[in-house]
Amino acid sequence: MSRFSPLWRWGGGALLLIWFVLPLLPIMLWSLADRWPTGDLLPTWGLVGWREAYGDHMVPALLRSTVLGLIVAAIAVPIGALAGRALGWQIGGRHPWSAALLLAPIALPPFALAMGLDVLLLRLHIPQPVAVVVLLTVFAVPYTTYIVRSAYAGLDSQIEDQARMLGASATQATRKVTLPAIAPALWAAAAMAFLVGWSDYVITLIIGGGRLVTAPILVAASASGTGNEPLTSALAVAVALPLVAALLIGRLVRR
Amino acid sequence: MMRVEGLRFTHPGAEKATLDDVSLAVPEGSMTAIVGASGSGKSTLLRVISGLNRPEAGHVYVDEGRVDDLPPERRGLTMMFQKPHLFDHLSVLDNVAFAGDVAGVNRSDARAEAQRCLEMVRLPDMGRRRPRQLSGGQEQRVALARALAAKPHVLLLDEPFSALDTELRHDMHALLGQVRAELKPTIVMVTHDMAEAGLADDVAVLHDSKIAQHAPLAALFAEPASVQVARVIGGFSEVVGTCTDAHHTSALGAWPIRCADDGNSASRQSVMLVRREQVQVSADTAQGPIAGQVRSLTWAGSRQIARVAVGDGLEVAGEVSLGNTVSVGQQVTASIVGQPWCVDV
Repeated sequence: MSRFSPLWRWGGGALLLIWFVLPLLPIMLWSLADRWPTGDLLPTWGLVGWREAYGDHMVPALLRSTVLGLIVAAIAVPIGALAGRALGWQIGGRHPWSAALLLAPIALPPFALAMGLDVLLLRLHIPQPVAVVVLLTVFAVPYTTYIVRSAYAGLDSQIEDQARMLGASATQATRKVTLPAIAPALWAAAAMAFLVGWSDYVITLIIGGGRLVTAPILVAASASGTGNEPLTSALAVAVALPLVAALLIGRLVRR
Repeated sequence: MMRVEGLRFTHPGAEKATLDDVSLAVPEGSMTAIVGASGSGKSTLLRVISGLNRPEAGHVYVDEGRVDDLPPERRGLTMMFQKPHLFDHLSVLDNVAFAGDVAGVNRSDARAEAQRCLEMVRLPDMGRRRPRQLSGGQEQRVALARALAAKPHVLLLDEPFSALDTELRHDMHALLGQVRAELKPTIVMVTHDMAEAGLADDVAVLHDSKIAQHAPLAALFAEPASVQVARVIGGFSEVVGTCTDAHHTSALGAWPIRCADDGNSASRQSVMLVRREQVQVSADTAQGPIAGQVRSLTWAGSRQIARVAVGDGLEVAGEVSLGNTVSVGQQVTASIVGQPWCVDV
């Protein structure tokens, strides 16, 4: 039974909804408008923004963002899982500097980091898409590590010993016992890493040298250059919708 | 059967070995309890036997085969820990069928065997439940069923019932007795509860990294090998004095004693170990030969135990005689029944 009264729960829910939906409401309306003159309460409805977005390479950009997010998640989650296991179960003793080391990529200004590393990566002749993936993974690993570390910290390490004592090999113990136990954290970590790749602008722009056009870059270019609100809004909604859908699907799956 | 020889193990970073030259043999179908003070290495011994910790020296044998080079899952051993460690993502039935599953047994066969084990621990209808739907006692029963389903040559129990309340613990003891009668597994159980140790055929006392004594519990109570063993078992008063010709002389006077070295007539420093059941405390000051003052009173089951100061800083614990009522600070007398055991200092 909830500790909060229905009034508090409904009130809290409404506040959360306003917090998340209110900023999106204008762009959702704009994306379905042909025009919205100042002073009019409602826009003139139309799909010009979506038509222009489709013609403005929205679909390939969304695909690139999806692939980038998936690759970053595919690399950052296993790394985060291993690091989270070592930190959560304090394998090899306590790690007093781990927090500082892990947070370093997030703590540093991304622009400065990207500019500095751009020079280095260019001199190493690392292909730009690879460099983008590597850097975004570095940014995603702290998130995945912290999420998985919390899961391991809440799981008794003796659970693997117990599995071994029932005849499971080390691999079986991990696969059949530990991974299912921390699966929710792994999904959360994957979602977080995906978001880092999906929504990144700075790293992709600077390291990618403008040739790797992802959805956020398309939105930013439209927002800064065209003055075409229906187009910018349609692009922004296209970027946000998959995330909202993923969130809802995640909720449904958990239920 | 299970046997260890010359085991040595030091925890990383520790200066002193936790286990040093530990040897122990547990005959086929018997049960041995390992007792010792906290931190004496009881659980470490089980982890080394199971292969979860690697010893620096020594060997482990299961059914006469050396297993120290085998990984834990291939040693033919199963361990129950203090916590049941049920796997939350599996149903109770699949928890019990886990050993069959990882061994590659057909799923329906593994589940049928799991159901048989659940019936053995008297939980036949719990298979579809999730572990979080079980009570503490039910969780340990499922853990026992799961361990039995693995069909181990040796079952290692690391204080698995210590977190249960008294009634549930007695229930698990009865269940363990039933399992022993039906399956006759070889069992090594770590415990700090002497009543629980009494379930075993014999008891090994771990002290100072070694097995200090290995004997049936009755023999340990009657003839502890050292003062340290007596302290681990508990319930003894230690009376320092001199032993000569099977008599012990101390602040309590001269008492006939038994000792390991009965033939030695030389006078020597020794400690008389008096069990509290051997000391009768009476409120009648003319009753016993030892006079003293009650320092504290406790209960052991239905019997009241008085600690009596008898001078020279010496205290002895004894049972208050039936029909007597004593209070703290009261002058009483005590008498020793039978011949206490004596060990050299």
